[in-house]
Amino acid sequence: MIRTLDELTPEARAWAEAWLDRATAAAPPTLRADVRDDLIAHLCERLDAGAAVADVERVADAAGPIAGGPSTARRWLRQLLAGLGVHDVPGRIAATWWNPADERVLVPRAVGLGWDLNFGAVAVRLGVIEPDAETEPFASTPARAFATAAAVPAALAAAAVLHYAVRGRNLPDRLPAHWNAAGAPDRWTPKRRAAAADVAGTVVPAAVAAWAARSGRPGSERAGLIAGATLFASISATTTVARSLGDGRRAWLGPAMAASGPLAVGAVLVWLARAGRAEEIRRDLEKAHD
Amino acid sequence: MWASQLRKGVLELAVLALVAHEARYGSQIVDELAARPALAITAGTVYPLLARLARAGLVKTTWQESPVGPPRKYYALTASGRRQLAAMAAAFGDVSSALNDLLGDLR
Repeated sequence: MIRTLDELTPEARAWAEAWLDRATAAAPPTLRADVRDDLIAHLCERLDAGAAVADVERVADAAGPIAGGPSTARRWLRQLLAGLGVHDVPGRIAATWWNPADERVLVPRAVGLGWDLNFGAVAVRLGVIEPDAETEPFASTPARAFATAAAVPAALAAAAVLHYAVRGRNLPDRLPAHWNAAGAPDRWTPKRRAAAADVAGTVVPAAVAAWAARSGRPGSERAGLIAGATLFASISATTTVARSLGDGRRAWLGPAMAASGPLAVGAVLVWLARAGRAEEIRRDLEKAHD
Repeated sequence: MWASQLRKGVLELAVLALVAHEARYGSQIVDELAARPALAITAGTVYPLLARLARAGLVKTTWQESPVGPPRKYYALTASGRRQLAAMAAAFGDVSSALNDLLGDLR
């Protein structure tokens, strides 16, 4: 906590001042000074004198849009989505799929009815992370960790494209489209349609993940988008593998298809959270040594 | 049921009081609360509360080297946490003395 912005480093202070100008620009002129004072107090309460520009950015992002900031159209869209219960989906996905502080392994679904797996609780039970490793999950995760995580759906997309490009000609004209509980195909589809679905099912999520990794959105939203993209890409990639196996019954197919998505998502979330934890530790220990 | 609600109600005060004396790490807070049977609360309740207190700026967290393993995250009171603790302790004192007065020789 600091008392005035003067206590920040010149770079952090310049960033904070520029943000204050942007954030208060849309406020009614009569309220602008008050809003600015409130925002300064908000920053001071949450920042230390050694705060880096990235810290100021994080606190500013967490403050959310200032009233009057987003355009009317965006506000209407947000209100509409909120009314439908689907606002801030990536952030809610991340908060639901990764909440190590919560002991429950099954938690109410992020979107819709039912239950979601809380990978954070599983990771704590496996001893790969502490329940309180990150104060705000994914807030400290560095950009390079997001880029690495986004490489998972990208690799699955590359594998699916290569598979159809290299082996496509040798595959039968019709490929499995559905399997029964015993793991035997019970519905078939033309090869071109299967290839198009599998390639789109991996390339689109890979593109979303790549965009999320580079976006300046809050860490939880980036993590949610990459986790969701990884799930879709894993399902599509596993389907590609299953199609390539052709006819015949394989009892392990069902469990493998059900497990591959959660395993990939879990690995990505653990990676992102551990990177955030490592960053928090590095920052605090460096400060202690100074 | 009632006793558990009562414990949950005072948990925030207990945690703030614990870290007011000296900075403590998460599992230490859980263990010290567990060592007081009247306050026994599970880790599943303590960790979300710690996260909420940190987000509210009432406690600050710092990773520190541990002599016996990986670094640990320590929790310490901030200035606003100290003010909040004083206010809560005063309110709790008032409630406690009013109840003691009411219960009187019933106990």
